[in-house]
Amino acid sequence: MRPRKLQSLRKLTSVRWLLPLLGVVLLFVIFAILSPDRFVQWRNLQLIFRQSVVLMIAGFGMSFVMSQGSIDLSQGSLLVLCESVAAAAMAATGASGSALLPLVIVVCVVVGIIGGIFNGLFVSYVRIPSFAVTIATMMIFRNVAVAILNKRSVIVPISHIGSFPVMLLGFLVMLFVTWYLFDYNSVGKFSKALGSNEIAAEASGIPVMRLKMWAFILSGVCVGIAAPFHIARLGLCSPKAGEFFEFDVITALVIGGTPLTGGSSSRVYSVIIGGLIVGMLSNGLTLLGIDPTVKDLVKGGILIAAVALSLERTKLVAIK
Amino acid sequence: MEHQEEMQNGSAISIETKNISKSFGLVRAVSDVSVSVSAGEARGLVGENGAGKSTLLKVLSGITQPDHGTILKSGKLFAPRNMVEAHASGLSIILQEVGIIPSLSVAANLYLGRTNHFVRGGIILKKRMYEQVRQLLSDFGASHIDPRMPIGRLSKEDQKYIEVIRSLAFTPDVLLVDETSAALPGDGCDLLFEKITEMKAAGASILFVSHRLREVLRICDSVTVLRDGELVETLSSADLDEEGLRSLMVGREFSGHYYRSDQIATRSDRLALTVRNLTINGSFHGISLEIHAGEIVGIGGLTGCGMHPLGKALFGLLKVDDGVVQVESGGSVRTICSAKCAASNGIGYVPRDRNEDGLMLTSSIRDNICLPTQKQLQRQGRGIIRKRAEKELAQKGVELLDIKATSIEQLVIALSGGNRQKVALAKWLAREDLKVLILDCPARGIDVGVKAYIYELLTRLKEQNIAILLISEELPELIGMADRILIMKEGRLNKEYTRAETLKEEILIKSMI
Repeated sequence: MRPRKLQSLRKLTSVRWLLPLLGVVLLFVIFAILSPDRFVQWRNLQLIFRQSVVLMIAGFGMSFVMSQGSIDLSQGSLLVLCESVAAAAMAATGASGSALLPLVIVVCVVVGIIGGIFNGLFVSYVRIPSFAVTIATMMIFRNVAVAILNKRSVIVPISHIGSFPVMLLGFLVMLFVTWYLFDYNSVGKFSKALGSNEIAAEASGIPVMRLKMWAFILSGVCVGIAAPFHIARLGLCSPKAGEFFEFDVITALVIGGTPLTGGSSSRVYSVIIGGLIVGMLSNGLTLLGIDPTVKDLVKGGILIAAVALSLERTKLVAIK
Repeated sequence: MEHQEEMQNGSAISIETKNISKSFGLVRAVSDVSVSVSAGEARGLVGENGAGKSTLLKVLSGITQPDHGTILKSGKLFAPRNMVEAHASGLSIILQEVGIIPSLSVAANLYLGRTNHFVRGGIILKKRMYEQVRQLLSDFGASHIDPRMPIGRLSKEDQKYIEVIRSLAFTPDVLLVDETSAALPGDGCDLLFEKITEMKAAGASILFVSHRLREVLRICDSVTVLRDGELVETLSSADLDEEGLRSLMVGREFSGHYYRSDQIATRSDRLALTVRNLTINGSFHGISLEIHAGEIVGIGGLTGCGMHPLGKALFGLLKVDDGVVQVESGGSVRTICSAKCAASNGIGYVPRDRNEDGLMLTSSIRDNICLPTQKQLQRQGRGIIRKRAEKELAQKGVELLDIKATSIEQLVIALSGGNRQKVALAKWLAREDLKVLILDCPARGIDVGVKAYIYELLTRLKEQNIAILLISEELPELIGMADRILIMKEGRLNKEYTRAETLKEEILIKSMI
């Protein structure tokens, strides 16, 4: 008798992870019907991808943090910090042309790693909840960036990596690396274990502190890699860049099905699906000529619906 | 049911269920059970894990509603919609799970839902409440507890005891006890039993669930056996012994002894684990011991004697103030500095509370079993943890320990307590390099069938030259399994006994107190 109940539970969970995919298809169909001549254009689809690729790359990093049941609210500020230091490095070295891109990439990644270590140190070794640490660094990173930029926007001419093929390549590389780390490497396995039950993870000989550190470093690295693409899309680095970016990333992950509590049902797939949904929403609503302020309303509504639909596994306890 | 036993003895039936059924999803947890308990009767309710004991109690106390059937209390229809309603009409339940609110004070927990007693003009008169509670606590021999203290800061045993006091303080005429004695300290148990006897004399009905069959037979007048949600039989305690009860529970004859059959202490010459002068201030002091390969060392004592933190400290989970733990690893001696270090040097640890500390309940059996082995799998797969390797490993574990599950992808939360414990063991047995296994109360709260299986497994592991440290609150288990028994008292090793047929519980108890 017992096994049958479990099968029905399993069926429930196995359908649940398909829900976000259904959301993507549904959203696509809705926009295709409402704006057939403009939405389903190859150029527009490329645009959607290019708009969401920064979000998805940062989301890969965030998924390690969230699988542990933590959160990183400093991603947007770290993004602008990476960009501002890169802009400052450009000005200081006078690099231009073909030398500029490597410089920007290296600087962004290094700043991302330093930011991640900073977050990770406080979360793991000082044992402050990630929410508090990253809300603090959200303010700190942003302020440092604004000071570096002297409150002005700086033009960084690396828009050639903003083209579709380059972005696709960058995205695919990041996807495979993340996929490997998340599902085929102990870093991901242990992260999910930590999110499921931290005490049990430690009692199984897993270095909990070191893993928390790693998650935030990975989050920082991913932001560092996303930063050049972000610059490329706008062509400049503005002190206002990346505002509310972390919330878009978290929204995307949650809509994609990542549990807020962390644990074994976290998937890389959530990042892509969630990223596409957020990207399509922005794009589609703009095409429909809807007031930009309404966008957040829709996003918020979908976020609540997603959390409500994603039947947290903890609720299964109540069934027993 | 044909077994409509009526044990009235002329007195009015105080609580009675008629054809109660309750399903969760597709599982029938309780099916068509009719039980009646007379006034002044203590009834034991026994059965394997998942037999439906807890569900029946929850239905009786209004925590869940039955699908079919009715409850009669003193002959009148009784259908409480929740625990508070049941409580108000004189039915108390002591739950298996902890049922307190940690951040509230002891007093507030005791008077939960009843604070109106102390309200004057919209204000709770705390002083009067504390006075009352202080009186209550001293009545129950727990005057060492401060009524103002947040209950979460008390020890787990004291918390449980407060729950017991809460259920008994308001003189219920029906008392349901669900697997409580395992969570209570020894003297708390005695007090509970004393109170039960008193209540019986006053004409209350008691339903008592416990895995400790000896206890059930001692306290209860009669015993009802459940199996797979169905009522098997109700018998008078006088006609029963532990043996007979066990076979009724499992549904087959049970061989008398499920412990080791040999009575001689054996071990290999090779040292596996050495502990020197280990100290954690406030928990234990100057613990030195050695475990050889192929030896089972038992540690016993009262609950607060420090043996549980000692187990944790040996696995590197607690920071020690003094002393070292060393393990023999590949010809050299390694000092344990962290849990990671312990695990990678071939030590395994099964915590006392498997649900909270040992398992990832909302993950699959595969994820749980493979967790301590991931690094090994990654090395074997040249940097890639292959799903197939994981599945093979988990499958092997499931087969080795005979874990009852539909598949290795099943969530652990859906397993019964005994099978969960098997998963907690399987994850360490999956490690080929396992040399030392630390077990903290491995047979706690699981049924006889699985218990027997675990003891057999320990014997097999001993034969495979694995060193086993068995921390246990059950003296028969220590006497039955260990080659050497170390008794701890107030944080120190008090006495050592070698395996012998003549070793009796009474001897061990003397050195514990």
